[in-house]
Amino acid sequence: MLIRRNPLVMLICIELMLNAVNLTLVAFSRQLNNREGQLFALMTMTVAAAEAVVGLAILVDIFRVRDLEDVDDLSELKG
Amino acid sequence: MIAAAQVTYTAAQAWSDLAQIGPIVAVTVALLVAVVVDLLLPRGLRGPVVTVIAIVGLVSALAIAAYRLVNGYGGPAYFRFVSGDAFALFFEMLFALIGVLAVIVSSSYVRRRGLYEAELQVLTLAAIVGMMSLAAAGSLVTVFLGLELLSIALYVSCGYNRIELPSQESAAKYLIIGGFASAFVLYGMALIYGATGTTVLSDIATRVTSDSAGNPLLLLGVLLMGVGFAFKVSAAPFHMWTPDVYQGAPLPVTAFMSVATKAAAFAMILRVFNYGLGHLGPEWQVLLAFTAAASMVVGNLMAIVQASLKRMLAYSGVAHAGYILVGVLAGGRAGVAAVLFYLFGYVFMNFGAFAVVSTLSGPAGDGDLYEDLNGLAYRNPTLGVLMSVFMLSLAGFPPMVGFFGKVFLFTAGISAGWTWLVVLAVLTSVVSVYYYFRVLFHVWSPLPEAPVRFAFGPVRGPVTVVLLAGVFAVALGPLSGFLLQVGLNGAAPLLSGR
Amino acid sequence: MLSAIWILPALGGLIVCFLPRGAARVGAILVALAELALTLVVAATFDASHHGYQYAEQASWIAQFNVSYHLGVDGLSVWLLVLNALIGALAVLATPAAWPRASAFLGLMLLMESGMAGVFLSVDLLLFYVFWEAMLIPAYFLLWLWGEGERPNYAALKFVLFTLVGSLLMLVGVLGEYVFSSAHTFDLPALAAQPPSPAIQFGLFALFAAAFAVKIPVWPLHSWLPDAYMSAPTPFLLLLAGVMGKTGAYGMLRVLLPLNPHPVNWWDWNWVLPVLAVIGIAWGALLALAQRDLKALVAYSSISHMGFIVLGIFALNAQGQEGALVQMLNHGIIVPALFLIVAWIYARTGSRDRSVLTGLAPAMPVLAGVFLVVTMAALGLPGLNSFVGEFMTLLGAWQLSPWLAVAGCIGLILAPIYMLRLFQGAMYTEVAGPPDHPAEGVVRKDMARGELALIAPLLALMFVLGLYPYLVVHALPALGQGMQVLHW
Repeated sequence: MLIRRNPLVMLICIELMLNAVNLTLVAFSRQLNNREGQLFALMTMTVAAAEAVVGLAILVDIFRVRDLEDVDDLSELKG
Repeated sequence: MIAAAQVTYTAAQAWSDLAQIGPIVAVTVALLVAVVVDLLLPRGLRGPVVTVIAIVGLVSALAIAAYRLVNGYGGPAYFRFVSGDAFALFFEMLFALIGVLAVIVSSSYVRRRGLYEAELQVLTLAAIVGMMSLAAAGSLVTVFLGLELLSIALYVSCGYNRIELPSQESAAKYLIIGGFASAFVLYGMALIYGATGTTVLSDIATRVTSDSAGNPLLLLGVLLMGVGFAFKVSAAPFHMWTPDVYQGAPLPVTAFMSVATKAAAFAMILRVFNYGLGHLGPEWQVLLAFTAAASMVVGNLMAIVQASLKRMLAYSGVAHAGYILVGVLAGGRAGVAAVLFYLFGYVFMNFGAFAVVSTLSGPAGDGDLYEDLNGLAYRNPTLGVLMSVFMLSLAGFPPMVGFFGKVFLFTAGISAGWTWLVVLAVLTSVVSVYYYFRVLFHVWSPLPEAPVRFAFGPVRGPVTVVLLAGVFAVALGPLSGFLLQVGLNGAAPLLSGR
Repeated sequence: MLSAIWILPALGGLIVCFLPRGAARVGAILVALAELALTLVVAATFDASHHGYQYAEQASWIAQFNVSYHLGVDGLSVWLLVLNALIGALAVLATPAAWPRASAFLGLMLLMESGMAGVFLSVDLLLFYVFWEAMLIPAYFLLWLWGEGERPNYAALKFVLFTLVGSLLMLVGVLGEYVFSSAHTFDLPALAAQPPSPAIQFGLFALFAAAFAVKIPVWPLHSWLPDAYMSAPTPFLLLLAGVMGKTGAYGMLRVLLPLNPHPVNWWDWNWVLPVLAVIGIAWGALLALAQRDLKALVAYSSISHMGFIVLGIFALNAQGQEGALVQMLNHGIIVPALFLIVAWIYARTGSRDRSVLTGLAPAMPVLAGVFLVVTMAALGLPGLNSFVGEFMTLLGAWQLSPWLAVAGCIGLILAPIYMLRLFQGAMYTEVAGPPDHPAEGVVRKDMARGELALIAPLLALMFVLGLYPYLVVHALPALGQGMQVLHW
């Protein structure tokens, strides 16, 4: 994610990270024979979906105002 | 384990569990009612009605929390996934209070800026539910849920001004960096779950002993969570998003975020680190000490060169996060109580300052440059004097609350042996006086000859909020013994588990 | 009783801020005079044979940290309180009703007076610190919003930042005393009875000394003073130079020494400060010699005189510290008088330049007479007040180290040079130009009755304290808490 500059791709990367966590959780759950991990994974999936929705909405909103391919174009606010 | 417990889940148990999260329920109900009402009412009525509903919900949450705190109720609920203890109640009261202030300020702001009103209040309520869950969390799962609920609501709030690019940009940056930080936190949680076999904090507290320090899973988990938390409290070196997001977001959202998110994130750090991973203190303390020192230095130095009040306050927020981390590091009853005290006081001084700036907004935009404050003391003496009070309080002058907050934090810090950090905090806060006094300079400078960019609109609501915050910022100082006692009570649940 | 001493000007100040100009002045004068009466009553009924704090008031404030609202007076503070009230009253009286934004100015002056009274009254370390910082806020506004000169903002900010570095370090010290003293309290007598270990004291001493040394100011930390004094408007300058510097010296006697009495065996701070003080005495005097501006001259001479006070305090014996206290009062009387005279000369001639001012005495004989008395007092003529203090200070310093005493005498030798040169030059030198045609805008008229009345109490005190120092000194043994280095 750190090397990609397209905001949409960055969003996808975040989703990937969350999925990696899910996999870890489920794996641990199986290994420890404990169901809390699966519960946690379910919660994470829900949250990830919500985050994706909001994220896409925000990006769509930006694309409506201006065309954007690179996060470095987001330089109205100098950091 | 969970399956076994579900069999015996009785109605009485359900009621008691519901009562434990009473304040959260109150806000959630207000949130749901507001959403429905927003759909049904004619357009003109939506804003005011939703605002009233939000205030009613928040005030009743405040009342419930205060009632339960006074009567000493509180304990674990929902299989220890949530807790209604004094710590949770303290923060629930704090968030309800911030919520009321935020709702009033944003109601007036959106009207002046010509934005929709109802949705912003709904989002604020959602964020507050998230924050309260975070403070009440008894399990890593709840922590994560609360964190995401508040974050997602705030992503949308930041981009609330849909026609302005800065607002959009702020939302996108917050979303991407916030999502990144959340993923870090989550991965850390997963690793800790893997190492301990549980997500319940009190179980983690008993299973993680000082012998577990060699467990690489645990250490990596602590590191990842620490980084994620540092993002959330905007502590250096993970603070880069803060000024951009604060500057772009609509003013009331910035004001709300700057105090509420910080308080929520600190509640989370206290719950997870000081309580759950208390025995790993030496490990995470190194991480946090570095973060604290960096925050004080970077925050205070960067705040000097800012031209925008929002950005200055953002960097000053970074510096304050550094001060508060001293209390977190000190830990123990005194340290945690000092953190709670400081957060409570910080709410009034920082929110008050933002509320003053928000009165300078008109249809044309936000007046957030230093120059926009020129002659404020003569244009509106009440706001001018109170802005001075907030700045002096932030700078830590007695008899304002900011001073006593620092006294408690630093006392705890010295007692716990973090003297070098306290000395650094003190020296950097001298630097902070420079930029806080720069605000005073503009507030009290003679009226500008050129017409001011932003005249005052109908701002009775925000002025009331500012007055209230000002009174609290001053009065809580001399009366700090009382609030400190509340903080000490709030700190107790975090220590009893060990 | 003691609460009233700080609450009266605080409340009065807040009310005065909101009164219209004329009423504000009357109100402020009434408050200041009432304050003076209150402190005089306390001083008159003060029992000099009683050891311990008198009129003590104590109430729990922040119980969790053993902070108490604890006020009291003893032989050290009682006359400083009177000085504060006296100078406060004079400062308010010296503010004309036509002063810009007079209400706010007078209100802030009263608030500052209240803060300083609180510093002298506090027997609790945290309370002391609260007042210590609180007096800075009105001082900043007064210096900045009413400052004279090119950059009042710069002078005010420099003043605040300098003092803040010191006082925030002191905050660490204050909290350190609480944490490391086995008493776990902020109460001064209790802390003095159970000081922390010498190694800790080494650090705490440095932290406190930094704060007090900036405020006094002691030599390398003095650079805020010329800027602040040059920029300060006269009424505020009376309080700033007359009283605020003394809070630093008072802090050394009240907090620094009693709470940190034991040096570590490899380092003794008690040697550092007198050396710095002596350097300051010479430094201030030499720079005063070089000044052309009268106000700057008095400002630098002030650094020199404050050096004597510090030298006396760190002589660590009875004579030296008695001398220091007497000298604190003397300086608090003489410096305001000097600044008033400078302001009056400026108002008449439009200049403060030593090389321009000449031969004023024939036109204003009364002013010349007053100026003569003050000059003599400032350079320590026997019979006037400074002599006693300087003599006792040097006596004390001699017992500590003859070398320091001799070095301190440099200041005594230089003082007559710059003071007399100033006085003679301004008052008695032949007027170069034709005397009948004074420069444009110069009003050569003598002192008005009001001005004389303003300075009369100061003149009277110079004689009284010069001839009868026992009035102040006899109260001294009645100390509130033991000072381990002292044997009265």
